[in-house]
Amino acid sequence: MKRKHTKFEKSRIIGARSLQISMGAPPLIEVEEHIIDPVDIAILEFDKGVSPITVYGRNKDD
Amino acid sequence: MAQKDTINALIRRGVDEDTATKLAEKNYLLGDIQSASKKELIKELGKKKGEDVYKKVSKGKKKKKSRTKKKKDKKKKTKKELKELEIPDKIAPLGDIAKKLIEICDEKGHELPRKTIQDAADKIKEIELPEEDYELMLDLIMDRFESRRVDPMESVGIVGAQSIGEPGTQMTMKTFHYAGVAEVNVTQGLPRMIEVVDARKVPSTPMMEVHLIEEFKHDREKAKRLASDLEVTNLIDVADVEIDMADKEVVIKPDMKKLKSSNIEIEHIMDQLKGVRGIKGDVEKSGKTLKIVLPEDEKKYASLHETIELAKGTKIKGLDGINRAIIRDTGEEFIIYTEGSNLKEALQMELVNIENSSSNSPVEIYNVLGVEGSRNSIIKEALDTLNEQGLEVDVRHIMLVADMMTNEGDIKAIGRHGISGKKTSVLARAAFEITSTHLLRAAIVGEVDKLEGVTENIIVGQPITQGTGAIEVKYMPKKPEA
Repeated sequence: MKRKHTKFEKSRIIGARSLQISMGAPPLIEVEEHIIDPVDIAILEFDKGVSPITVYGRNKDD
Repeated sequence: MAQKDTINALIRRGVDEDTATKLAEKNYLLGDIQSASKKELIKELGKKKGEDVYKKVSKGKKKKKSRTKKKKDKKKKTKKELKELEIPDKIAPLGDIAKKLIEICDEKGHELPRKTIQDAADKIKEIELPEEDYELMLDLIMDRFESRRVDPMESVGIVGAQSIGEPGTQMTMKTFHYAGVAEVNVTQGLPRMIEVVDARKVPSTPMMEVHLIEEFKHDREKAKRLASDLEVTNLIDVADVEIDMADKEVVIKPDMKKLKSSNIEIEHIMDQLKGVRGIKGDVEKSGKTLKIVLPEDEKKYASLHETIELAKGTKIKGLDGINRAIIRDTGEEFIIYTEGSNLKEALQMELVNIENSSSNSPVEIYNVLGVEGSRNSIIKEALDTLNEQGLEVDVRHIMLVADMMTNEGDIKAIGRHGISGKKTSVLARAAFEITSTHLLRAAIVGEVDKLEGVTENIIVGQPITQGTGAIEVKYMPKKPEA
């Protein structure tokens, strides 16, 4: 069974991803024109499961 | 010189001088003779004398005898106690319903603790839930269970500290009378909380709650008997003690009513008085009074006064440390509350229910019953003091505190001498108290700080190892699907 991300992992992933987006990285999903906040875009990516950021280290088994 | 000492020692033990000299001249020391076997002595001295010396001097046999006797006595005692004690299984076996629930859990991939399942099974039995609803029930339980879980790396310590500390500011600072029980003074509020958390050896108001065994739960007479057996009764409580100036004796006139109500025999008082060190002279009984007759050369006023004071304070019955015992009728059963506590001895008494009698001192419970008991006691005492003040704190915060205090196998106080003082990190200790001493000592010894805790990392200026700070993240783009 795949474990859900904890709230800390989620915010860390979104944080890292939104930094990339804010500095010009291309979003991996279609984003509506009125959404301009990089954090919002990162959240959308996370919710769709396409975020390229993964957690590693002692909390994750993989 | 050594020979002379040996001879003297042997003579003192009743060996005649000739034999003693003989032995000493052969360069035997007292110890050798004491530990020598009968055969060796007979060889050395001839049959008759050898046996004689062995009888008088030898240590081995005599000591052994007394030792085995003591052991036997002890064994007898423990055997008797064990008979009444039934050692429970560590965990209760699962019932049929619980087994079924576990099956469903396995099927659905739910992970629930055994206790939760057991509780659920008990509830099912109580409300007679039909079997087809088990699954729904488990789903609901699982939902709740998940939502109450704490994420890994959550700062439970800080949350707990705040959750206990904030309501703690509203606690009273005084000792109050216990509401339910007449005239028992109990430390409450903040001082009590500090006491519990400090793992004080003896609380300022030690108390015991003693339950009667199942059979006599409703028996007022038995409760009264037990209470009077627990409470310390001194001679002065049940008798008039006076000095007879004419005969220069101490006269004890027991109050027969009091004796009867506390179930004490005059002979028992006599025995007790005879056992007191410092009371010289004989205890004599004449009719319903007792007399302490001092030896002829001690018949002075000073020694009379000394004796009377000793006699007054002589403990006739009861357990040491228990000053008062009060019976309380809860409607369901009689419970005895005591002022002062002596759990170890109370639990050995016949009428006491071992299972639910307890003391209010976690340290005492640790000494008598072990860590797990003291952990539960800490939780109970802390929660009770908070609830008494009308403050509601989630158990889990208090459980965390109790776990921190007991997880190393003994009780550790929170504070300088306990947990905070034993942190592995120098920087964390330095941040707590006496900074320079800690740093200096660490420098001299050459300690290494691995920067694993929160405090250290804050001092150094790094993200802390909790919450988001504990998570490491990697950029791993997925390959576009073909």
